Amino acid sequence: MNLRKNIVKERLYEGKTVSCFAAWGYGDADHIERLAPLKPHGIFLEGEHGDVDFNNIPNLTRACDIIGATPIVRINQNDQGVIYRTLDLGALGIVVPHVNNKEEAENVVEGGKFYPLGKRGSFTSRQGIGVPNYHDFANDQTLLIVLLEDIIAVENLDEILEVDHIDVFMVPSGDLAQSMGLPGQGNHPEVQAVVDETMRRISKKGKITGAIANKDNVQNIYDNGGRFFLCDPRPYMAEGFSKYQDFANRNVK
Amino acid sequence: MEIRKNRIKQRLRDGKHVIAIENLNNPDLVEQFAPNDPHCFWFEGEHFIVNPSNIGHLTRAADLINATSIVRVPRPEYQLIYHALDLGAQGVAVPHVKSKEDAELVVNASKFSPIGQRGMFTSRQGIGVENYFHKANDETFVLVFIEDLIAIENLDEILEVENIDVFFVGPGDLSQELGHIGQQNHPEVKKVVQEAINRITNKGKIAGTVANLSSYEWAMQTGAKFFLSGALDWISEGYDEFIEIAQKLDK
Repeated sequence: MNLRKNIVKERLYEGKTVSCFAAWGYGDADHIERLAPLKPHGIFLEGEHGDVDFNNIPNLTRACDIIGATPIVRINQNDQGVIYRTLDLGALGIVVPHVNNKEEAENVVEGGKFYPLGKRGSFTSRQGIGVPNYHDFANDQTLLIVLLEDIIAVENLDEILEVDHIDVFMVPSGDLAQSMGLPGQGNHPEVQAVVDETMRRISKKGKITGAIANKDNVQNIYDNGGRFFLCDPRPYMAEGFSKYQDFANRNVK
Repeated sequence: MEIRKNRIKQRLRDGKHVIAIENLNNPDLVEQFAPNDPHCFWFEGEHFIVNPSNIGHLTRAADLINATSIVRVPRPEYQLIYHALDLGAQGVAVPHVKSKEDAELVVNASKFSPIGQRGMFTSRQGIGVENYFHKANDETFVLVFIEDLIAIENLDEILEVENIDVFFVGPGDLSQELGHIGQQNHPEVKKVVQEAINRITNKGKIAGTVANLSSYEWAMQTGAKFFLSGALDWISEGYDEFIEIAQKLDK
């Protein structure tokens, strides 16, 4: 048996864009499997703020595997044990929040990669069942994403970008705004200016960045070097429901 | 404590439409929908994962955001119907009702005496409610599916049964019997659905049917007032629209 390919990673290194469906407001294994016709490249599973944890990661990631989408889990602490246990249970990608300096970035790689790149705990993941020499191939198929979401991380950007084997550096605006003294104002022009500039600095160094994308902002994200797009389904549901409601209000007699 | 009001029964009494949202059979997904102020959630127990072990969690989430909860039970069976209500559903949807007797069974199971003989138990909706057994019937929504040709044949006698809130004409199963499997929008299927809706509304009863992306504009002009709509359709539409733009960036 061959190791399952990390489609998201493959596309990113081919220079292509990736659309990753965020399981926010729509999720859980039986629901995720029904996304198959959409052919999402990846599914983003929420374990920093949501209910994703060690008990449901195997079922969730199996649902992703079966529809050919790369399962990516956002964990809630930059802890090597949490990183590799999440991978052991079936995640092919890890998102680590609040990475603020070079040491913290190095910790992600150490926990996420086997020797010689790191020291991920030795264990055959669900993804490695029946794969000969799994440990030789696992690193290639493991995607590491870090979130630079504190203004201190922006200040330390150059040293963070020196750390190899991190695939995507994202600059989410919500926490960044908070760290700039503008809580809840991720769309504030001052915050957006920092996001845009940081993304451009990342891509200028030849690294990959990304953001939460929709049809209106995706061109701007792309222009700033963003290739990893996170898609939030909640606005789609809100729009669809209100479209039906408006129509019903006008037409149901 | 007062019994929780059934929002969609009130809406239908007021002559308003109801959109029941399906595809979100998980309590967290239901609660996340709060900002959109949905009328009603449809929890799928005929074809999907809804069962006695999750009805409590699902319907609690709907209660919290002031949306009516409906559970579709697997078949017209006495105990299955009131068990769903006992666990907290404010309404039941019962598939494949084919005769007057089937319809009477549904009412008998979902209403306490003097209307029916629902099994005696205080539902989650009745916790701390004084005189719950005298109030429950008024807040219990009952929907039957007309989705077999035999049911269409027997429609007049089915419509004689009182205390059913919505007669739901199901195009999916009808399409199968009409020889157009899976083609809910086939003209012949639409014709049968429209005729059934006419017969329902002509008797002063409320009709329901499916409203999906390809059919909602039609369905909402058939005379039906209750619509079953999938959140997954809305996700697909939004995501497809996004992907079309994103894909162009790769060229």
